[in-house]
Amino acid sequence: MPILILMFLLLTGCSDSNSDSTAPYPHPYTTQEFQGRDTGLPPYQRHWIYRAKVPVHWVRVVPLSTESLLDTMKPLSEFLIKDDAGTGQVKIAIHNFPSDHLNARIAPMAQILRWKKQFSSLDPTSEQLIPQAFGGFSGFLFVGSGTLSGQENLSMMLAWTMQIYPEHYQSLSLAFPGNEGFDRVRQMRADYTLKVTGPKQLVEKNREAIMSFATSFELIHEIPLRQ
Amino acid sequence: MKTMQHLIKFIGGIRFAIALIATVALFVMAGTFIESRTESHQYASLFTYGNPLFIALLWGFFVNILISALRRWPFQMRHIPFLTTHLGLLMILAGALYKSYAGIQGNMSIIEGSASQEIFLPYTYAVKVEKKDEVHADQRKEAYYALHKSLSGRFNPDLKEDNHPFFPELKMKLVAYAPHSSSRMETWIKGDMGVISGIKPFPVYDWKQLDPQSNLPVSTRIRLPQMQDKPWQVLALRTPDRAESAKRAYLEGLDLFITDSFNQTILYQGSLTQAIAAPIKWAGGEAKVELSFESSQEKGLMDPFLNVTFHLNESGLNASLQIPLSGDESLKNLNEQSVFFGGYPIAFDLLRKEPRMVLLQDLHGDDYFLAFDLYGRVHVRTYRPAALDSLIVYDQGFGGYAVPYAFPFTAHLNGRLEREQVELSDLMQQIRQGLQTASLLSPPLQLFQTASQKAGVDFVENFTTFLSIWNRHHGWLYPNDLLLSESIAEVMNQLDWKNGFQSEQKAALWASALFAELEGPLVAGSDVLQLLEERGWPLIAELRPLKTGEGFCTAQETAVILTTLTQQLFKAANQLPDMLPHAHPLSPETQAHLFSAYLRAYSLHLSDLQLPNSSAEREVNSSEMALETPLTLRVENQIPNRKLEDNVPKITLLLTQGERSELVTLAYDPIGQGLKWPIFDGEYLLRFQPKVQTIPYRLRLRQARQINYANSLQPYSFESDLLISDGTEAPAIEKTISMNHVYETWEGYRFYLSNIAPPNEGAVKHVQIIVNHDPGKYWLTYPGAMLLTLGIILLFWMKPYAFLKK
Repeated sequence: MPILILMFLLLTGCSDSNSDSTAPYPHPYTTQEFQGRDTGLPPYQRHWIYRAKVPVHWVRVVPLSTESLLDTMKPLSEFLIKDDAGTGQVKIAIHNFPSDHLNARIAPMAQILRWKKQFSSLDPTSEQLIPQAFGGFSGFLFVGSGTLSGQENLSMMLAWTMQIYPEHYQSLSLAFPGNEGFDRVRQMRADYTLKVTGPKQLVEKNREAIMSFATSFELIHEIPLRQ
Repeated sequence: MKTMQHLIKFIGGIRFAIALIATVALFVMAGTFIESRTESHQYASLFTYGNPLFIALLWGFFVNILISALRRWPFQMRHIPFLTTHLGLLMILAGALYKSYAGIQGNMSIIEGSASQEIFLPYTYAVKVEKKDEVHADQRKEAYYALHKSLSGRFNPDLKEDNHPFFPELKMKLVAYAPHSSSRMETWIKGDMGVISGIKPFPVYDWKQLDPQSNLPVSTRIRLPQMQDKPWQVLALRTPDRAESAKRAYLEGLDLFITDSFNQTILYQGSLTQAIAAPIKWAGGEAKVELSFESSQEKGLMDPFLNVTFHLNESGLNASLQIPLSGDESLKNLNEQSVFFGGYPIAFDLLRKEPRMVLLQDLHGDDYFLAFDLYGRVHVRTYRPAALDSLIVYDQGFGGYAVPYAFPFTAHLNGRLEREQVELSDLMQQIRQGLQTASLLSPPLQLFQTASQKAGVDFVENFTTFLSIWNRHHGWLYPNDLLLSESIAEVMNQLDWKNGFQSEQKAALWASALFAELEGPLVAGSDVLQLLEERGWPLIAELRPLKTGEGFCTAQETAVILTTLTQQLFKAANQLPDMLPHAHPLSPETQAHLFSAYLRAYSLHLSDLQLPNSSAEREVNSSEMALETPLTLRVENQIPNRKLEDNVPKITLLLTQGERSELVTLAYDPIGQGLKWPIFDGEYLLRFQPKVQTIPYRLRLRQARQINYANSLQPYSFESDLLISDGTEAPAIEKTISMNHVYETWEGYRFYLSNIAPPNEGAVKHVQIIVNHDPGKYWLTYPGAMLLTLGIILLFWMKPYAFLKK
């Protein structure tokens, strides 16, 4: 009898294949949303385009709603990660670059070349170019450290340049009809960049959280799948 | 009544149970045997688990167990273990039967960033129909017309919409079905006709039936706007030997010209075919010409080129050159062996009377579009039906599909000479732009600029012309005896070496003497380092490291060594003994000779200057002259495979709408992602594919990744991050599924990660997820299994049949 009971327990107590394998986000976070660019005409209406998981201790800098964000030099939003000792801060800038045609997009290598030029001296051994793909976008993560122009301390840059998958570019064009839809689609299919700069030590310290933030960055609306 | 009792006793009895068990065992054995013979799980499944007889056997088990349990009525305490086991068995069987009717097993395909709620049900057949929404042209209505089998195993001829009647006016009838077919996209050659949009279809000739001695038949002639003003011959051939056909089509009507590089006098003119067949001779020399126009299985037709070897009687020069016939360098006489010496005193050109385009189809059904322009230039584009690299989609497919051929040639004169002139003009432009921005010119250019100013001629024009003439002479320095144009001669007369360039003049004189000795053996093919060793060059230690490999120096190494050697002379000029020129005053040609040495020290030879892309090429891109052909589908019956999974069924449908009717043949698209074909002048789109089922969960794919072993490209795991929502107000949940971690919902929907493609981390991934739903699992199958286990335990514990032993 004890053997039978043991068998019963063994048979009914098999492991559950439904165990949760989802990797937890490494820090307490909030999901925050980001607007795209306006058309340049007052009252500067902007669609909510992106979202990402943002650690709660990051400080968000939001652009003024009374100013146009048509100029792609202006960030859609910024975050500051302050050092506990108050000795420095890491800045994370989100930009996007809307285009009207698939071939009118800025080449990712052009963005990377531009970032490299922002260093007055770049340590070649620190340079890394890592292919990336998430959320329907693909591109590169540029990692480099050295002295940024106009600064003296050793800085580090982590910068993502991402382009939407060409098939999604076409699918999105058909997904939101009308003028308002066109404005939204133009923002959704835009290339985006996430640029992180700051003192090397502080960037390294927050690197895991920054990487998690970047890989969680995605469009709020799902991209329609045409079958 | 007694018969009925006997029947019930039999159905609920052990004999019937044994018969059922034996039959199921036979089924399973047969299934195993079939699967091993056909290697087809689908075949075996159809014969066993998917067979209605097998389902009937399950029902037989169910009835047998039910009756055997009911026969114990009225139940007593000792029946508890027996009833428990039987109830458990009934629940398990009920679960299996319920799953066979209401269960789901399908594939979901998602791309990163997108989401889906639909699954394809494998080995099911439906015709997907799409129509544009009348109000919102960007949106579509879609419906599925399923193919149902009757009891006889044949498909019902009338196809009906599965759900809502979106298109009640559209009637669909199955007129033919084939279990296996092959389908092929047809581009330029469709059957026995060649098709180019906008012109009348033209005949395609069979290569094997053509007379090898006669000219190839011209299918048609077309005149293209903006293109070379002569009409283009169009040849369409179906051939087993694409390379041979391309070669013959290319050589026909093509002439070879040999000209003097300096005065453009024609030295030889004749058919290229004859020049290839036998060595050619002219007054000043002889040459041998070979044409390479090869093909490979992987790349199709390769870029063709001419190989020329020649001998010049007067100079005794033996040389070889290559003439690419396609690409940016096409028609250039490339001196690969000693590019640093520049070109040759003769040039090879081609010319045909009529430009030609040739459409070839090989045995694999691949189409090739070849264009041969007037100057012998070739452009080849391959159209593989399975891998078309460009497709024009008209009106989202409702207007049909086409494949383009972008014409690479320009309407302007675009022979080798014209191209060289354009490149020279570009170089002049580049220098002029440089002059506007650069504050300092290199010393030899300063010397030439000052001389040009004194001579009152244009510096840039004369300098580039000088480079061009020098380049036509095959040698390191400009020859003493090569006459200059009047304006360049005037500039050379004004070269003022004495004004700060005395040591450079001395170095140039030494360079002249040194290279007079070296040039002959170098042109004949001697090794530069060996020559310098033999002559005891004192600074050879600096030159030796410039050679990396064994044996003779390569062309590149020789160029670097010669430049460094020239620079050594100019650096050591002050230590060199004085050397007097042969004559005073120096002739313009001697000045040019010395000046060329000075230019060599600064790597200023035409072969060193990287020329920008010619404006001729840019013009081609801007002209965007393109031809196109409609893309069509050709489906042919094939003998079915025993492995059912490899079969591609084909259907022919008769579609009617009001007075209109149309026949269409479609091949099965098992993953439902291929093209949809327009019917009724683009009113509808159709695709023959698996049935689609909507599940209550929406899966959004955030990221998929292949995780490799450390420092390796071997995959260790595949993972996908999903956002799963159930259509309620409840927030979507985030889940990561991987090969060994399935996600299962409370309703019993299981999501397995099946495939991720492509494997490289920088590409947006496509993910296949297998979705499985067993609706009775949690309230029939699992509780039944527990009851069965409990019943077995009770059987041992209560020993209800112990009394039988007594």
